[in-house]
Amino acid sequence: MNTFNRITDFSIVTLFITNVWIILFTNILTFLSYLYPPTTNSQLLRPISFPNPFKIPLYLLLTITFVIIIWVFNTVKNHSNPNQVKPGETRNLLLKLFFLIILLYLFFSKLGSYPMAHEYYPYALRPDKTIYNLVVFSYLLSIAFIIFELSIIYRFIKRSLLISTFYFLLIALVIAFFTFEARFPISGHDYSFFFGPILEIANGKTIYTDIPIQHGFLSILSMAFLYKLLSLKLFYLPAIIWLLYIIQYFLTFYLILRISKSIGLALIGLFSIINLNYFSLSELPVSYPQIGPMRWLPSLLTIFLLYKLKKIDNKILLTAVAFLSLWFIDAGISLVLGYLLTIFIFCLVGNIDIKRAIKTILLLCLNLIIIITVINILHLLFGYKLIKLGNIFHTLQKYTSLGIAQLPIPNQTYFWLVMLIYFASLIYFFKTSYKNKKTIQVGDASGRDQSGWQSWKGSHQRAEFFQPSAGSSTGGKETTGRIHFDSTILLFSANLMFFTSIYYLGRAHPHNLFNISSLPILTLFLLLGNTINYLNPLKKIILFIFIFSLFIIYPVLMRKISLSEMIIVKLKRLTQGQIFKTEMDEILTKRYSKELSLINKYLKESGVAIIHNDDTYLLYLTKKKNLLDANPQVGIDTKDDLAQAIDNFAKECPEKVAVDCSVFAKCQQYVGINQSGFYPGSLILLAVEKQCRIKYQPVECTKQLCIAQKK
Amino acid sequence: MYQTTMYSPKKVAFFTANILVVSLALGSLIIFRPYSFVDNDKAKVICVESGASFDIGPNFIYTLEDKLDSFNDQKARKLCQYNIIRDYGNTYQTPDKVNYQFKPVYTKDSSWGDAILIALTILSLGILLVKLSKYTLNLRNTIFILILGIVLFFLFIKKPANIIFCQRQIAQKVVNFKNSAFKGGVIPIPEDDQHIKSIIKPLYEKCLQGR
Repeated sequence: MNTFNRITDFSIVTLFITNVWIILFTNILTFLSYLYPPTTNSQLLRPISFPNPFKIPLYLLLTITFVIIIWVFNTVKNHSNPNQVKPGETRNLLLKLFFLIILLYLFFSKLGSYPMAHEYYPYALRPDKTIYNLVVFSYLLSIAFIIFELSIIYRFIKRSLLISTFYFLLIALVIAFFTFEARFPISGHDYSFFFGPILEIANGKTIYTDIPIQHGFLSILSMAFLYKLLSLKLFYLPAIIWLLYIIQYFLTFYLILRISKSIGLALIGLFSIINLNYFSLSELPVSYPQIGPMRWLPSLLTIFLLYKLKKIDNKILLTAVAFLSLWFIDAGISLVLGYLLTIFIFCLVGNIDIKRAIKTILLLCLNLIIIITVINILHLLFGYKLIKLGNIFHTLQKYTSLGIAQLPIPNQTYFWLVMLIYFASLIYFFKTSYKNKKTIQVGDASGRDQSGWQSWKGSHQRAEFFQPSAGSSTGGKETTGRIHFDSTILLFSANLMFFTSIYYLGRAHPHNLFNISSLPILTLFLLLGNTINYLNPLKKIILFIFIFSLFIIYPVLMRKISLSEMIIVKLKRLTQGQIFKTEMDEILTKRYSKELSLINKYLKESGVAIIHNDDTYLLYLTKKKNLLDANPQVGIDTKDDLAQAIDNFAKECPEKVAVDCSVFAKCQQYVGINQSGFYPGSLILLAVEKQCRIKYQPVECTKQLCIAQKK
Repeated sequence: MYQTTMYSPKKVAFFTANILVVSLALGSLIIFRPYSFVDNDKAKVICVESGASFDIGPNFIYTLEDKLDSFNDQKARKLCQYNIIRDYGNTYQTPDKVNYQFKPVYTKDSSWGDAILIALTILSLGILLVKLSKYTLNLRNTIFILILGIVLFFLFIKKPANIIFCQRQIAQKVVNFKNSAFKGGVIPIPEDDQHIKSIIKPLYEKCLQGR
């Protein structure tokens, strides 16, 4: 009964705090949005912004305030009321259950409808709907079968390094099978923000100094390095993304397995993430590089490194945090902030003192400075310019302060689940860290290594958070250290989840809930993994069935049509042959062969200006240098962007340029491979004509492109 | 716990803080009480002749009450007649007769459960205060604090709480429309801003009067 009581108490506290947080957040945000309504910005070339300067600061401030309040309450409670169940406490169980039901009702009423439930965009609805049931049934059956089989295999294999390695390889193969997209399809728009900068850097331009970057820093630099020095084919980038997906999902599985020691939970966790983060999206996720591992893998890697290195202030971990934070700018900022918040909370609970915390932060800064210096030195050695560090935040600033492509967060959203997981993890951490301290103080009078978890050597014993602890039979330094170490991993994961979720907060489109889902699901499963061991086998099986229904069956049913169509597309691609050969070269050659001939006929110089919706792909085909300092041009959102893009062009003002034919009204406006709804071609042409004080007139056109000459 | 003199400044401050906590908790019940309003993102106008259905908010038509006022009624008529929106310059003539049906979709903001949760949160701050202080509360003192808290609420808190409630309501309705209209990005709508400004005051007065 004690265990049940503790679970009820834990749930009540978590739900209470989360509900209050949601009420305050939504009300304060509404009030601020009303008092300071969004305004248009004259810098923008089109009205695509929805700025809300309060959303992210409020999210951060309110949550940090709540973290401190939880800590204060926890400290006060622990000092005034030792963590023991009072004799009369069980009598209040009915009252507690009643309160729990009310809190659950209030919480669920704030979630609204399931994100994109029963939507089928961009697919057409089939007249015969039985195919959806058939596909979904086969999909669920396959997952259940794989989980069952892999669990059985795991139980019977010997725990040797070699066999474990084979088993993990098998898991990686399963992930590879589920996430493989034959012929590596791409979304022209999303990939242009990677291909464009890679091409520009390979052609000698310096990242940020000469060319603006939408997403990455080290990600783009490393791809440019692979492309230029190792002759990686550009359109095999989706294959790299696929490999990164395998690593990301494998790390998730590995962490859940190591923390929970439960293969069942780890496999259900793995397929929950694949199901929500991959198959719940509308289109093949590998086609959209910015939503997948490019953004989230650095966080996963640092959690994995913390697991391996055991110490939050380990120097290798610090270097990794600094290095990985430069991989993808916004995700990197989240990574650093998540790390700093973990250090802050460690200070609060007394796991590390302020001196050690400051030293850690300074070391992190030093690592960042060293890495940036090394990158700059390498740039100079390879003949590039120094990187203008101020420009690193340019795109981020565009999105946050100007509010480009931002969407308001609805009052009812499944995003609140992220906050529930966050507060649950925090409360669990505070409670276990207090317990840990208490037990260590009793067990280790010498006061050596108060953080305890550093000394963990892989004990298989588990102390249970939901079991009575003081003087418990499972007590002892190793076990307590272990439980605290596990909850440290949980805390770090929760903090990273908290910051990376800002991605949804900015652009609160329902599909972004699936994009950000990997860290919340991992954190939730780590929390379950921390607490699952008190259950007997039957209860575990019931829990597994419940989790499987909640995270696999229910989402599949909600996204039945879209998911079925995605699987059908995947299977069709697999049957078309040459599955490892990229399709992009064929598509491009077929679409732009005439345009390529035209450009080669008229533009003989090594540097060309192609003012076109598909500038990235045409530049790739022509293998010429870009005279404009923007690639892709659809990334030109503001007057500043435009001025920077044409700055170098205006110095040369070439005799001839290639221009999208719709700009000269020589053809209808069309959607290119980029598929962007907005292309500022006319504005670019006007700007260069004004700057060069000339007029370009078309001399020869195809159905997609004109060659224009100075008049 | 140790005894102090009956009217020590610390003790007075402790009791005052607790009385304030009780009255603020009651005030929060007023501030966060639920109300329903027309969701401008989901409410529709259905054109009588063509049968076409339009979401009102994304088409810059809105209501902060239960029905469309004359300003928005004109917009709805033009939308059904000419298939146009944002004709602020009155380029098109408004059709004489109502040519649409307004289908409001109501949504509820907050709940009594939410209001009670906030009240409990404020009360738990009081409990924290008790735990952090060196004083204890017996039954007599608790009743004394509760009664004074209720008196303080009726004398000083209820009215400002009601004002905040009405401001919260208006803020929610206006933001609901703007979030719905600006989905594709913010554009200047000075005519609508002016109109909203003109209807807010009577709406606010009405709310304060409890209508």
